[in-house]
Amino acid sequence: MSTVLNWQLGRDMEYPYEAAYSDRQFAFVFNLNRCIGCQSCTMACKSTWTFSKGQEAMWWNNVETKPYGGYPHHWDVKILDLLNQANPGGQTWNGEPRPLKAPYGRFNGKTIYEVAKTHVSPEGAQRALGYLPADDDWAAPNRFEDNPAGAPPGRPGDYTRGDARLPEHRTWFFYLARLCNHCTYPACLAACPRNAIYKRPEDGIVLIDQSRCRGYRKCLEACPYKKTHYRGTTRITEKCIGCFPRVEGRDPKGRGLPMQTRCMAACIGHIRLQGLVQFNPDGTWKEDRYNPLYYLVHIAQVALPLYPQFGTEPNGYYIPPRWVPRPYLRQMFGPGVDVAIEKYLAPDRELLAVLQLFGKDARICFRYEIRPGPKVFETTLHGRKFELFNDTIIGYGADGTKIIETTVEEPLHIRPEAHANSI
Amino acid sequence: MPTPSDVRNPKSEVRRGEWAAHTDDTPKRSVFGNYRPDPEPAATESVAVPSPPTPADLQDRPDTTDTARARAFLYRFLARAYEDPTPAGWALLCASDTQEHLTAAWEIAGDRCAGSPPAGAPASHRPAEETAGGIESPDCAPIGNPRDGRPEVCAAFTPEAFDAFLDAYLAAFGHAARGPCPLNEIEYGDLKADPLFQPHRLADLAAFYRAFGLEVADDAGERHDHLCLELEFMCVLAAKEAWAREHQLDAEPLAVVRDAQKKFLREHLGRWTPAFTRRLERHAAGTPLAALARFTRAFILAECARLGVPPGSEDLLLRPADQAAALCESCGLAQALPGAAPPATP
Repeated sequence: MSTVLNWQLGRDMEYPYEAAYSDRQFAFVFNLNRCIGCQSCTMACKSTWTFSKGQEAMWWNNVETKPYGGYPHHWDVKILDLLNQANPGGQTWNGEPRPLKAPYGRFNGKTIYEVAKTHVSPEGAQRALGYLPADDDWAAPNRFEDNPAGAPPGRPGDYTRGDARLPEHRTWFFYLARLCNHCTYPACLAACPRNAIYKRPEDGIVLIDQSRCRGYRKCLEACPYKKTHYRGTTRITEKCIGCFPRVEGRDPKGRGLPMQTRCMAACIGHIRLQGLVQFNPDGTWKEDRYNPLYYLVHIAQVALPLYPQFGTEPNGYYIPPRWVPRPYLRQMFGPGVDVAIEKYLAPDRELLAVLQLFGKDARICFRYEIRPGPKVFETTLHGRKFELFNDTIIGYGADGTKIIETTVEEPLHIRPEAHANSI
Repeated sequence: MPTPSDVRNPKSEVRRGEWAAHTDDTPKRSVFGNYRPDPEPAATESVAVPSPPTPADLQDRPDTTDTARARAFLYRFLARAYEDPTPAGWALLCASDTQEHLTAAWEIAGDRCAGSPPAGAPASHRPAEETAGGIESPDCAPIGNPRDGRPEVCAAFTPEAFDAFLDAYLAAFGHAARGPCPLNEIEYGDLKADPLFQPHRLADLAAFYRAFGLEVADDAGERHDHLCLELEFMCVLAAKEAWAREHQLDAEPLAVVRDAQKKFLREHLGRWTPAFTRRLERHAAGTPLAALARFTRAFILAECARLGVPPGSEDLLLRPADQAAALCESCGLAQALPGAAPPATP
């Protein structure tokens, strides 16, 4: 074990390998307030990469309905439970937030690596705390999502007769789109006994060497997000490859410029923005003020990591859904939730402009510029004065090519009275 | 597995900037010390992409035009034998001409079963005694008559045996897809996984047929996975191979039909026939049908050996007929259907 800085936890933590960082890091921000659960991303991924025999139950990208959904079933509940058993009541945060090194304060609990040092699973010692999902858990990616209540104990298939009441909670749900987080400290990589998993220095994408993997499924056990998938027909494991040919700029459609992954580009709700960020030698993000991801994560602080307490430093960030009870969100995204939602409810000029970059172009935006525009109107939003400016935001690709130019106010088109399908 | 983008396209106008540090020539690298790429990673069977055979490879193969023709005949014979029995069909199977051809074809094409010759060896036409009577491998029950080299099935298929054959046929296959020994491929398979694969298998079969310009006749009345259709398809491929060899076409048509036979045998016919014949042999013991089952197994195993394909397991089970009900245990609909068993009470 060596000591590495996990800035999401605001402290050093233990990891089986020496700290090392890629030149750039694959990262993405999802605005969960906008996701409608249409599964376009899921099918874009499936039809590109996992359409073959043996991959039927393999969804590198999935959208699950929280709080009950999960693929594999109850993945997050199970790992949270294991962590809680190992460190009862100790998974807490405190401390003052500090920019870059501890934006969410300090995590006092234990990560999956730290628990694994003293915890022995029924199968033996682990490098990262985890469990192996049962086959059935993978069978149906959207099971349990619409179930208001389970069957009576011992009578599967039956329903509750007589008086029945729904659980007493305010009804809420949201869609959580997930893919491999290409973690900075991947648990799959740490757990692989054959050293078959590698993290590419050029973009931080985590890949499984298919010629070396022997399907021991230690990565399935270790990955807290359960994003590696065993393929029965080949008896080896596969995972999201971050559409690396596109990220490398080898998709002809990008004309040489790095492109966002298929799932990002296919999103009809424009909830996704993927890009590449850079690291400082100590493992914090290198300042890149006008990179939209850097802005959303570190300046605006509206985008938060998914379950940062696991300790893998995931590179998928989420703008939390504003209607969901805060304790649930704090558990899922850490203590930065309140700041993020506050900011999102009354966005400032820059945030509003950057939010327009989502889904506008399939090429990766490396830098943006904002050209101020006129004030359009002002109002009171959540008790505060809010002014809307019709600024223009311009996004640039890897080599400085302008790839996006759009305004905060959507242009209004009035269809002429006489048009193609007039009656 | 190489992705399409791993293949460098010389015509591509893609510009490569400093952001695209990963070039095709760069070995795989990891930021962590865990990963050191092998100098020459050994490709496993599952990820190896078969390279197209060169003309030299094809010349080395011991198979000849005669072998291909003999194989086509054997497939055709088997396809006829598994059809619904009719007196006319039976007369054809028992005709002395048919049986002579069968014996000759078996001598040419069926010799791989007992102690198959190493690949690249010249085609061996062993004496029948050695082939059938002398050596007996556990995978291959004796199927020839030690004295005259005729397959056992010739002795079993006599004009008088029609009634016995018909009775055994009806008892074994019944009138539906799901008798004791189903004749349809997708009834066999792994209990858990295969219900998911059934549409895939049917689609795959249809695609195989269509790729070679074949369609199931309107009056066939059978699913694409019926044994007779699969045997007939292999018969066509073997005949195409014979044609390509006889007319010394380019390497490509020959490679295509060889490859198709190999794939079809691996993914379909060779996968389930061992289990089917074993089941049939047990079920129809002592009847002409059992002889047919033994002959079929011996031939398919010989074909697997010839094309370098591992035969499927003899222990494949029949898929559960009503697995769908168990899959949706929580919805209650399965119990609500007419005639369904009432839900178990605790």
